[in-house]
Amino acid sequence: MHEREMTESSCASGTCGCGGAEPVAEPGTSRRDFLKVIGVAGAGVAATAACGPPDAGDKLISYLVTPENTTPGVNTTYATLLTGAGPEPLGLHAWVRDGRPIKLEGNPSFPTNRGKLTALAQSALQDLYDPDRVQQPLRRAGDGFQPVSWEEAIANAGGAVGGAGVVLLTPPVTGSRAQLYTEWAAALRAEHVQYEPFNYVVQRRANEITFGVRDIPAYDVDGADFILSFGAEFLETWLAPTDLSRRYAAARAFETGRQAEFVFVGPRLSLTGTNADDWIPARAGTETLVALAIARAVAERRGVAPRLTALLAPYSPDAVADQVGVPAERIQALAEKVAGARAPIALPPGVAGQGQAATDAHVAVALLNWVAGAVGQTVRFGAGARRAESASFTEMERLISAMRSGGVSTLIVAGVNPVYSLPAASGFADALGQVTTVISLGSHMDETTQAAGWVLPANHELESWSDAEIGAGARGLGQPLISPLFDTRQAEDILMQVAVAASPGTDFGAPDFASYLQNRWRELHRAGDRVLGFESWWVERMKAGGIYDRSPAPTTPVSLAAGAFAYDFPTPGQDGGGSLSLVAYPTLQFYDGRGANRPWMQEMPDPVVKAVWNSWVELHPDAATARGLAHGDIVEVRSESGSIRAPVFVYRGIREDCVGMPLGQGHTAYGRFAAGRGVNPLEILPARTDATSGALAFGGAAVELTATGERGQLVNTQGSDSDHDRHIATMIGVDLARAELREHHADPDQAVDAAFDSDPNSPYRWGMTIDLNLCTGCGACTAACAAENNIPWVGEKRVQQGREMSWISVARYYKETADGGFRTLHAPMLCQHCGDAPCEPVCPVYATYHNPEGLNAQVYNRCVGTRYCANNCPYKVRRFNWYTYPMGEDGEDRTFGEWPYPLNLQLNPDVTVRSKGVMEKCTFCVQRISRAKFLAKDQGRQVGDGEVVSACMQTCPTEAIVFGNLKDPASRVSQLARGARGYHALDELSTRPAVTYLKGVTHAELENGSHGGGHEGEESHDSENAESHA
Amino acid sequence: MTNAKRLTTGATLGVLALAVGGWMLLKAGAEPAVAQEDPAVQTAATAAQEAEQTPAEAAIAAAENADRGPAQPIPFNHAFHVTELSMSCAYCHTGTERSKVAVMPALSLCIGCHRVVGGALAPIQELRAYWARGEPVPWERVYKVPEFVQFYHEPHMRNGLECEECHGPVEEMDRIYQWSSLRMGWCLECHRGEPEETDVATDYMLSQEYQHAPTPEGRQPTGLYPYAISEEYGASRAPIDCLACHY
Repeated sequence: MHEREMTESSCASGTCGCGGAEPVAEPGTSRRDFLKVIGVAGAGVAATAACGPPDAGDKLISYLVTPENTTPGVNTTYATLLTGAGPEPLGLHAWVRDGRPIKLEGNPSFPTNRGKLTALAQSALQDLYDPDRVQQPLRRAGDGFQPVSWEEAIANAGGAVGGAGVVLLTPPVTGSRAQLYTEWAAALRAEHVQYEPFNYVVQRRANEITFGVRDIPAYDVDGADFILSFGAEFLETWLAPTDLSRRYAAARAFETGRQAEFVFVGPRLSLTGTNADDWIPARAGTETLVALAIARAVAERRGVAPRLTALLAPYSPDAVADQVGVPAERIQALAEKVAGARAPIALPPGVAGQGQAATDAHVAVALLNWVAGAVGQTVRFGAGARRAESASFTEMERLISAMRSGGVSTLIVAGVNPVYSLPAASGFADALGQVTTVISLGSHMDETTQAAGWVLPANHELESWSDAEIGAGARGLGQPLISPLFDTRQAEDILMQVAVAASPGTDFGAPDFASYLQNRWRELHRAGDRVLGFESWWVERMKAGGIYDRSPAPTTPVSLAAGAFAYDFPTPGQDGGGSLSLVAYPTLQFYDGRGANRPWMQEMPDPVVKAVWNSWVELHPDAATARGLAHGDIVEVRSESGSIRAPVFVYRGIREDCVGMPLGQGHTAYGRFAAGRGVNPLEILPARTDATSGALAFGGAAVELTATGERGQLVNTQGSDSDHDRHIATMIGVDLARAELREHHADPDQAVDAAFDSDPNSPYRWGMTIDLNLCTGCGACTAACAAENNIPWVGEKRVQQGREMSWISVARYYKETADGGFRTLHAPMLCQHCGDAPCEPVCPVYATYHNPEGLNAQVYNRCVGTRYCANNCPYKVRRFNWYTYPMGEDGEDRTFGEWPYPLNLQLNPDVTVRSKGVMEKCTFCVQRISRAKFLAKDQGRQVGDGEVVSACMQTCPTEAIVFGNLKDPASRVSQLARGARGYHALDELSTRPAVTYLKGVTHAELENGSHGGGHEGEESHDSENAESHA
Repeated sequence: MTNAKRLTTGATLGVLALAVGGWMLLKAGAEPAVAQEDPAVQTAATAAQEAEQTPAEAAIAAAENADRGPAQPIPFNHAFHVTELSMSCAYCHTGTERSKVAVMPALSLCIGCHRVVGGALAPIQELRAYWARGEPVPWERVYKVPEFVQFYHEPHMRNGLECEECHGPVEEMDRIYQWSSLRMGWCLECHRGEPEETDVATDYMLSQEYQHAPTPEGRQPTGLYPYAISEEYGASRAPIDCLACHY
């Protein structure tokens, strides 16, 4: 076991608790005297060295001054805000140990994520501790950079922003940051452009046309009984994935009598689409026609204004079927279902479906929602999350042409990476060369920062103060979790200092952004009830992570605008297609590319393709066969704007006339984990727009495919697309599931059989349920587990050798349907903590055994690495350390050298870092069980239900994973495990798992007539045949 | 409630506060019970009388010349602070009862006293120099359990263990040395023992007091257990399961 913690409290500067920060617990303390800490830190430059790489060996390094609310060796929880992990602001409860954030959990009070986090948000720690961050101010010197002092950098920037033609480019933000940017731009007569690659300009424009409001409504998916997604990736990257995942789970809460039917329309089944009950593989760009055809059927049933009937009249299923590329009967059947639904909701296309006629599709979906009665019910205007407007692509093109013509003298880029995230065809990178001074406030050496003349590195968001509007009456507040790791400053502070350098009289009413933000909150305090004085109120708000108004957001009534009736939809015609079109889609692990330098995200298998560390080209099996291509063949994808090469992935979930490619990879800079990995489809995406909204057309570009004759490698962790009816992942039809539920009787006072696979005297048998009806395959559990349990990454080559280390991985299986299609089932697989575990008796040294509380233990220091246990494990969840990871002892790949500083600062001190020759696997987060037992014993009682929350359960956005004590018949996990849908994976092996899966439920008709399972009546949780194997 | 209060080695914080203010005057009055009971203890004070040094100088010399334990960057004398000054362990190692680690005091705590006292002594000047530089003292670690052991101070202290049960007679140690072997067998001597009065709760007590689902007749767990089921679970003073410490 190699050195994990330098000391018990290895941050010596005494400032790493961040003055001014307030933890969630420990009330009643006064606010920290900030100046005192600054004085101490200022006195000791040498002290920062003690925060550096942990080479202190067996030294005990104490704090100079222990920060308030800090006890060395104890996690302190701070509430803060994360706006940079996807499209929605997320509330965090960050665990800070000895001044270092080591684990992010969701803030349960935060309105959007309610305690849950996505995989990308979990990995924000690897962004904070990214070894490739910019560590001090730099200026360009030839092809490289040379370090400069902050004084020089600020002075120079101050000189550059003094004149005309200054542009500040930031992501769209709300709250104090937005206000500061506006004031800053006004003070310097600069233009402020807000840019994000995945934006909602189409939706705003469409709603303006349809309803006369340039707004994004709230989509209350939880209130719907029929969900129709026209390519909206609402469970992964669209609008508010954690919020919508929670709502989706509520709509699919089977036992409560609900099981909203979900149909996905679009050329490619995204991860969201794989959760649907049916897939209408409409040709790219024809979502409009499908939406109108359905709206027509609904309008016929419900009756609408004659003008609307007339507008919809031409779009009969028969008329559109040819162009859509889907039989008219299927469209008709879908339309009838929607028309018959009580509360249908339609979601407009996301990025992948954003083509050159994107506004058409959005207006059509808005009309469908209108005729279906969803508007005002489940689609509520005025109630959506506050979201600043992003510049459209057309506006960005305007900026680019201004840059090219010399109209921009100084460009300050803060927090965005347009060189990477705009299509190469837009010419942004070239235009940057025409700008006299390019200043990057980037925290990473990404493509844009690398092209800058000056780099004034900004703090990471977790080192910064921030706030965000999150809806009516609600605001998130972010406090720094750690003082800056490197010589960086908060982006807003840099801007303020630059403004003062440019014009010494500039006054923002505050000396720094922390005070500026506090001043804004003083205004909020004045507007509130003022029960508390500001100082106390401020502390309370920091502990809560914001202000949350629990009253339901009011709905703004809307009605159809004249523009809707007059909208010029395309007339249905004979479009046979012909050419291949590109579907460039965002992934939840990389989003717009920002996740690419985080090894957890690179190594997390793509939720659909299950490939790691790479890009790929998705082809329909027939299209691949027709071209003689197989999985892993390298193909060249050529558009009018260029060509890229990537290996083929043969995917059933894409149309024959489409080519799917993930966005977010193919970085040329950004860091050691990102650079040179995969390809970036934006390099070949023509700079076309949707004319009505000005948004970039991500979808529908015509491409050609050429086989190169080369074989590549696409490392994929999914061995088989089918579980071969081994009851690993089971899905049943909704009618059968309802019948089983009716017939199912379980004694609520009776513990499940698995409960008794622990010592009879033990009050505990730890167990878990995983609801496959709710699991969306998002992989948040995998990322949370990696963070909690110090799981290393091993790199592409070793994943190919089957040596990945993830303790929980989500398997993806296809289930055949009666109509020749398929459904997808995502099934997290982890150690089942079997009552009669095959791994235990084969260990020659008792390194693995059954613990009295039912845990399947793995004692690292006893393990000698025979790997017999892994060999005998039917679930294949045991992981062997072939090396002391993360490293390459073979010397081939230095990328995987060790935990490169400062990534090692994230390691959880409560979990042993394993070394070479040791077997490991899921422990059910035994360190959390241990902690809960300490606390309970301290109070002389047993651990109660809900006190132990495993990392995977904690983060799961749909609450598909539930953990607890099976010996307590009243615990949530016992109740779920007793349910009608419960089964054990590979039950026939009589391993008596502690994990009970709950069958997935689908509205589709599965093959074999038995709705997929074929083993109804088998009460797996009461498996009597298990006894005979004892 | 806990027995966390029982952390001291006999002194109270009140005595301590006085000791901080004027230890030279009060040293005779703060003689700890432990030292009085054991005539074999050679305190720094008696050594000082023999060598005609001040007790503090003698303590420094004793720390420098001790033959056990690693030499520390500053010859800090535990015996002097505990015995002569009657300081409790928890005065400096505050928070240990709720932490995984035996909390090392921040330098500011040392300086809290030593900005007033001991200014004439070379090691104290050195200590003040560290403070002035804003640099922590790189103390040598004495106790270290292997990385594969998850040892928490918290449950041990909350169950009423005295510091000296593992760390030995610190009040006699001029320089700290490793008193216990830290071998697993040494841990298990206690863990396997009978529950004691001071224990707040053990697994055994809890399993007796609290109801849980009774195992059906004839139903036996079949996993590979390291010891006989039903005979030992929770009966010992502390968990003896491997997973209690190794994860």
